[in-house]
Amino acid sequence: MATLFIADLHLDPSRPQITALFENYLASDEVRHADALYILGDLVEAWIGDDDDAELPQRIANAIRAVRDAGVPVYFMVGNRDFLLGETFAQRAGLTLLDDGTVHELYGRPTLLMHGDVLCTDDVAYQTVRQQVRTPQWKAQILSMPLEARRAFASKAREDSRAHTGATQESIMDVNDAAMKRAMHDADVTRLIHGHTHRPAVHSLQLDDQDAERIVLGDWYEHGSVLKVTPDRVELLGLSVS
Amino acid sequence: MSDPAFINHAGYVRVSCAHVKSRLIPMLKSLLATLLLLAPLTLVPLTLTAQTTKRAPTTAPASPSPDVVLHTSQGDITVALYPDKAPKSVANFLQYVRDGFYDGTVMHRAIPGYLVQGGLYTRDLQPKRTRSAIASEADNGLSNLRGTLVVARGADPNSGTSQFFFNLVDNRRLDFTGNQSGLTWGYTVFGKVTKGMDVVDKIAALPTRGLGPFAADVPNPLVVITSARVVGEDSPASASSAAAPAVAKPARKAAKHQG
Repeated sequence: MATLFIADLHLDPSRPQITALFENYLASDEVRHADALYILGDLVEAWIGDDDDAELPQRIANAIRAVRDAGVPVYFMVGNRDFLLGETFAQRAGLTLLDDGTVHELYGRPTLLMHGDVLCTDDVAYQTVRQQVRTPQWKAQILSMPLEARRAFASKAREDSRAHTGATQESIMDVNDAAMKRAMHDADVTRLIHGHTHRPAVHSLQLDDQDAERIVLGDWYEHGSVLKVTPDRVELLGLSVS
Repeated sequence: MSDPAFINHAGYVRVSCAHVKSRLIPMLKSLLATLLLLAPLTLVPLTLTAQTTKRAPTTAPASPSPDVVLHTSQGDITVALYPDKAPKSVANFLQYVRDGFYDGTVMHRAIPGYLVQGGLYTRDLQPKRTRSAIASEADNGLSNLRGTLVVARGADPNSGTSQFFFNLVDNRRLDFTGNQSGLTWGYTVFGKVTKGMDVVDKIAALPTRGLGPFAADVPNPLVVITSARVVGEDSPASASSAAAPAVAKPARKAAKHQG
């Protein structure tokens, strides 16, 4: 009996070994016998629309669909990389979309689920544009562009990103402590699970004079990272690239 | 590529069809901005900036530039501008003021101990259509000290348009530390509150909530800039331009939008 969480896989054609790791993990007994699988955002490095007919989205859909067909619910929350992922792909892959900030009860304990980016309130640049590009109008404008144009720009964005940072991993600001506590308080939970920051850890904290915990999921750049929640414990596990 | 659009080596979009061009280029730029800015690009951690050459923040000179007063629902905020240190940013801000762009917009983001931000969203939290983005002047030596007025932007240093923020405390970590990337560029200080910092503090002290597209940090009640005026000038220069900014039309020709 276990519920599994992953996030920040940043799947990309340039890192086929991570895509293979993802596929192999989703085909594993651990996943196929789980109570549920949650993907809390940034499954891919860039998502240019549900109509993308490239190989990677198809492989992702197939891998997730097989988990769903095995009777395991798969929940998905968009991250900052894949916020254009919508209902069309979700249906194709058998995903259930979740809003950022959803509370699910895990073995009797209400747990707040977030991608995590909205908690990084210190990041002026990020927060300045986040909402601006997520309005329905903007999304509609972007998605109305020709697929090839979106693809070309995703490619350019990747190049620029690497040129800026010298690596595929950008420096990501950590969550703001006050914002995190307020989100937990408002949701009336003592447990938060999120990704985005690429700083996997289980943090213990005091919230409204209660013991609380914030669990941060790891990324999949060098290896896989999974959070396993059972009725008795939470455990962050690594997955090696074979 | 069968599509009419392609990207040349310099990264510019070329479009073979003139009819498509006026519409497609801003859209492509918007997408680029989206994909770039929504990547987790952030300010560089202090540890990474230690080896860069940091310019010592200097005191801003007295300026002959006109002051601007923001009449808000919480009171008036008067700012002096630094045209000598940030000519493009000051001209940009003054143009928005004179166009009446800020009239009826809100301060949509307030974080005590950090900043108060506004300059784009209407009362119903829809983004307005901006003019083209301006080049960053964050390397002007001015530091993000309490009370300073700053150009907000996306991850690209040169993506500032109409949004601005007030520093509530000395936020030196928002200063320019090097031109290596958007992570080190920092944020352009182009003015300072000369009167009404208590109003800024009052806005920051308001309770906040999630509202519209924002998950949190929107002051409650909404803080509206009822009007923004250049001191000594009675009204926006052009009534027609004041009425021009339409709500969120990112594909319009004039909108480069945070590019």
